[in-house]
Amino acid sequence: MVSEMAAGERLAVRAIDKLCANLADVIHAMAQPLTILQGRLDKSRVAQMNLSELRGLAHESAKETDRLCNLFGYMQGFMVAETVEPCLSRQAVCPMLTHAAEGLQSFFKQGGISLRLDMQSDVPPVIADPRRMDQALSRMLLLVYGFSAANDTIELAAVSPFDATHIVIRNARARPVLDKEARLKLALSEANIRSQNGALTWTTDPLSVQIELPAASAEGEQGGL
Amino acid sequence: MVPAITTPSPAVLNPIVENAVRHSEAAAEPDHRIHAGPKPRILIVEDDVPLSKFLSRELHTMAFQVDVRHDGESAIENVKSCRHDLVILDLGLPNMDGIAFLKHVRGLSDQHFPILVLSASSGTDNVVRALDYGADDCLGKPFSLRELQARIRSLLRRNHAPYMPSSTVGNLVMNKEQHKVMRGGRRVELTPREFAILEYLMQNPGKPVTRADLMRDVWNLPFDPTTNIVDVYMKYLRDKIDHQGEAKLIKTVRGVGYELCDGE
Repeated sequence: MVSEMAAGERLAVRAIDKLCANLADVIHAMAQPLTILQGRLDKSRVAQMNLSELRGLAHESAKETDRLCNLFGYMQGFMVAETVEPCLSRQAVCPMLTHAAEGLQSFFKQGGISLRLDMQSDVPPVIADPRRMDQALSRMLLLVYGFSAANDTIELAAVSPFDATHIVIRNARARPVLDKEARLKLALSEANIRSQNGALTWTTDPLSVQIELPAASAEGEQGGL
Repeated sequence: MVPAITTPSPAVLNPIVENAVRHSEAAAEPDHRIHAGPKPRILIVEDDVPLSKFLSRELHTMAFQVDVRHDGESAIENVKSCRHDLVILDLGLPNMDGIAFLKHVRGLSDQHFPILVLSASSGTDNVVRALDYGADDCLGKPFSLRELQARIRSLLRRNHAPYMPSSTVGNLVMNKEQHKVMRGGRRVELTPREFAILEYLMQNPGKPVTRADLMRDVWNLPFDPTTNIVDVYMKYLRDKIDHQGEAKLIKTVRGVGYELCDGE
């Protein structure tokens, strides 16, 4: 009993550490656009600008404001992933993947990039929150898309090697150096998948994101929950 | 032959010069330049591209020469190949971080430029480490541009000849801190660019200054013989400095450029 509590506490401390580290990364990223905005919107400079310069200022500041809003969204995403209980239920994997792929298929086509689904017919159902899964899959598909070139193919595969299900999003031709924003997207999806008792890992040579989810037991129980 | 002085037209000013003029005249802050010779060269090492672009543009407007690098390794190559008066260093760099850059650069015997560290982390540990490894100053993000400018001036002053807050040639007195120029008892109102030209002339009293010197050290541009922008600004300056009945302090040195003398 004591050791179980200690293990639970250790897990909680680790989750809090992870959340703090992720929030620190977002705050760090937010400092960049804030610095630009603070510099551009210096009162004494703005007071001396004519209308056309003010328009230019507004246009340039809008970009940084968008960047800040995106980063604020990450902050909210981390908080939700780490502090709000997911709605876990038994989910079939293939429909989840098909749904995420269909939502982005035309967007990918416009960029000249093919999206290939490759799903084993015997992939067992998993315990997952469908809304969070959709967010994570879409975000990771878009991340891989962002590092892809025209005529590339992105593979979205589901395999079930042992008692877990692996979802793989991969572009065999992409070998990117991940920037801070990409790392934040990965960290957010990692927190999202971890909240569903799964794991998300990635490699960059080639670019590949792997999501591992616990399989649902045959009786329909929420395995291990 | 004395150069003809005309009002610049868009056809005369090339776009780079025009842009530099526009930025300078739009600057709300006085141009507190502190350098007597060539423009100080500043290296910005910052991986955030929009922020480094912004800083680069602002420092150009302050008439510095600016190099930008987005990672520690290419920044080290840059400091080895160019002489810099100051490095502005972000600590959170990819591959080689800011601390590793500091360790490496401070190990080079011939590199003694001041380093201003930018840090976006709220903790003091990184700042203390940066200072321990050879940074001269630290500034937390987000920061105001005015504070950055003041810290740059401060670091450059430490590394250069003593900063003189005011200078005098004849009865012409320039107070750089207050961005004020007086001739006799008369206040002379100057734009930032005119102020910078006069400051340069006052740093070289009694010595002819060429148009190329002024283009390089005041505009931070290579000399372009097709533009008469230097002559145009010298006319603006003369009209404000040398009023009718006063001794002429700004002289044209034929075939060379201009000279500021004490009027005697």
